Amino acid sequence: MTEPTFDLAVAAASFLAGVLGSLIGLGGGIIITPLLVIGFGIDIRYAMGAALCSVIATSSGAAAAYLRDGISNMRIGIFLCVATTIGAVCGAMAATRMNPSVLSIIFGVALLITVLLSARAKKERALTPNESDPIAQRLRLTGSYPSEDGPRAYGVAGVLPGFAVMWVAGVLSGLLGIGSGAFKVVAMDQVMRIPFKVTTATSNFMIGVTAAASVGIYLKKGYLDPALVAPVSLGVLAGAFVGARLLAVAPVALLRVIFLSAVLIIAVQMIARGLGVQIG
Amino acid sequence: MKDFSTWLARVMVTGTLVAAGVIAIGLVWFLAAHFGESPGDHLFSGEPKYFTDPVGMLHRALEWNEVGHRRGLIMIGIVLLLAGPPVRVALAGIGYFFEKDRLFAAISAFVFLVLVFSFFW
Repeated sequence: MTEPTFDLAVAAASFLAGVLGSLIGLGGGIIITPLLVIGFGIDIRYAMGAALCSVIATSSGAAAAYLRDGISNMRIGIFLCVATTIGAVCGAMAATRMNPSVLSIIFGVALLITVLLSARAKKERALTPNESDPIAQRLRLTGSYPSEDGPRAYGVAGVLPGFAVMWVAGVLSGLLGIGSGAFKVVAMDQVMRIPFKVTTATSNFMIGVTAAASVGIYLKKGYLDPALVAPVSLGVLAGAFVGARLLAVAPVALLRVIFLSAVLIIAVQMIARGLGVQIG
Repeated sequence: MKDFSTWLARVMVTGTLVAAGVIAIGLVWFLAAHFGESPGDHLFSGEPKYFTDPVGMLHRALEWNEVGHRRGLIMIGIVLLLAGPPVRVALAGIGYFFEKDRLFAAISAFVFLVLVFSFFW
């Protein structure tokens, strides 16, 4: 492939990843990297750098919408960003010292876990503010979000365990160049028992900040190639924008099943690639 | 706080769109120069030193006559994009400071410092 065909193809693929990602609720990063590596034969480190930039772009857009609606909880977001940014710096430093094959295997495993996390049945276990973890009360992390029947107050449990899981989410984000939204959501809705709506909105804010903590290290190492970052981030950004508007009309449940199955295959391919086995 | 959120949301969206616009212009300009070339010629050789920190990058991108200035324009857009989250955290911190919430102003400042550290270590 020659230019500009190559960049246009990359942009088109990124656009599709952006649309699907926003419909399914997975960020662009986790899809775009395997796509670039398997589909375009790009070195995984450059793919991760480009994906991370696209994560920052879409997170800014999505987080803005939630912020306006008053759903996201800035206090929780900023507080947990302490854990995710430190984790991201650790993860990114580890990534720059790691063999691309090993990265590919870890990436595949993280993909598998992400699929399992996204496919599981979710049960909301919201708390009232009074039942909150004392630390949450001291930090005033509890809040309320708008619902049909007026503002609904919620409590926050397990602040320290949640903080620890967030650190892990940050490490994965830096290590693999992903937003690790799926892992952040687990920390917030399963460990800290924050309502789904608030979790999703707040994690969007956090994803961009977390990604920014590792992207500087990628930049220093020269993993951000402008000629690759440009088509990927523009494609994903446009795709996410379109996806958000298709959300009301698209057959989301069906897409989810198809897409998650496809991601499973990709995960296996990434692992096989890391092990030096060629499939298909 | 509600007004502040709305304002912050607007800053975020505008910043992202401006960054995307600069990247798009840079990309078109870049591709015009590399028309018909194989992407391998400019991809994956590792980035030159001057593209590996934001300040050096801006310097280079603003030297209009140098080779590589087309990529430099894309890089300016990327830096604008990457500046989004640190700016957001800084604004949140300033917001807390004026609400006299010292603890959260300090937490925001810490997150901001981690971000700055990651860009300039």
